[in-house]
Amino acid sequence: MNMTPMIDVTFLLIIFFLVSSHLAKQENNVQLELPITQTGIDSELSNQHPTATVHVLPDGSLQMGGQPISLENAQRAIAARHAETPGGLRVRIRTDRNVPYSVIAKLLRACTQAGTNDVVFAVFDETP
Amino acid sequence: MRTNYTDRFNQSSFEISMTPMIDVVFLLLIFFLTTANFEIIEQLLPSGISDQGIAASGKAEDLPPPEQPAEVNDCIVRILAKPGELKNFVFEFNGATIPDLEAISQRLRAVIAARADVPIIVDPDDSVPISIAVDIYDRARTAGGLQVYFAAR
Repeated sequence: MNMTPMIDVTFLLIIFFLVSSHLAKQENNVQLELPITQTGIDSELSNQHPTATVHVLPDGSLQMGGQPISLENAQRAIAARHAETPGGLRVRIRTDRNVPYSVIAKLLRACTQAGTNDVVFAVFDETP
Repeated sequence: MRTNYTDRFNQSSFEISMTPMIDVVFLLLIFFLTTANFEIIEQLLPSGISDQGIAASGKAEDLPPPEQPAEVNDCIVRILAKPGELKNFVFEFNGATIPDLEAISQRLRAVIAARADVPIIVDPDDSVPISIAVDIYDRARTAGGLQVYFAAR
């Protein structure tokens, strides 16, 4: 009995599932030109904290969980998740570096009104 | 006899099939290409929000002018970034105009050397890109500031 075709197919399936799960993870990340800083900390270190991510696109529109969202709905969503998180919710803002500050200021205000002051910005490390 | 053996050896070596090896090499190639991570590693910039500007009424029109709290409370260092002509930005440090970012860093170091926990509030104008605001925020943290905030309105 020739086992080779079965092993071939099994390997192909393994690779397919490995790759597709990897791509599914990357899909959540919107490609953005983040601000560049020197004092950013390793995001792995603070990953344990429950976090909601808000993406701010170059045109100033917001996205949460891969869906476009208005500022009011974002505030509601943050408030709802903040209320059900025991240690409080952290909001991670991934913003394009050319977005005017008015958008971020409104978002920060929405965060405080939703009850959380724990806001972090996703940044790129300064390229040497 | 000897010739016969060599002939047989040569024959069998020609029969080695390359196809499975090529299959495996292509599979490995595809696997490593697709699992390779070409994304730039992201870091986090922990930040605080200064909600002094948020009036109880919640209306932006009712907010006090940004200079006002700086006069009331000496501990608060405010930095205002305003877009001037030709996309240059004008920086104000407690009301005094500062020519460039390096001078801001010097001022911040001087203030923080005197008192490390002085609250520093970064308050850029509406049209200033977030990269400039984050840059000033970053400078305050580099200077050793323990309490650096973004102004929310």
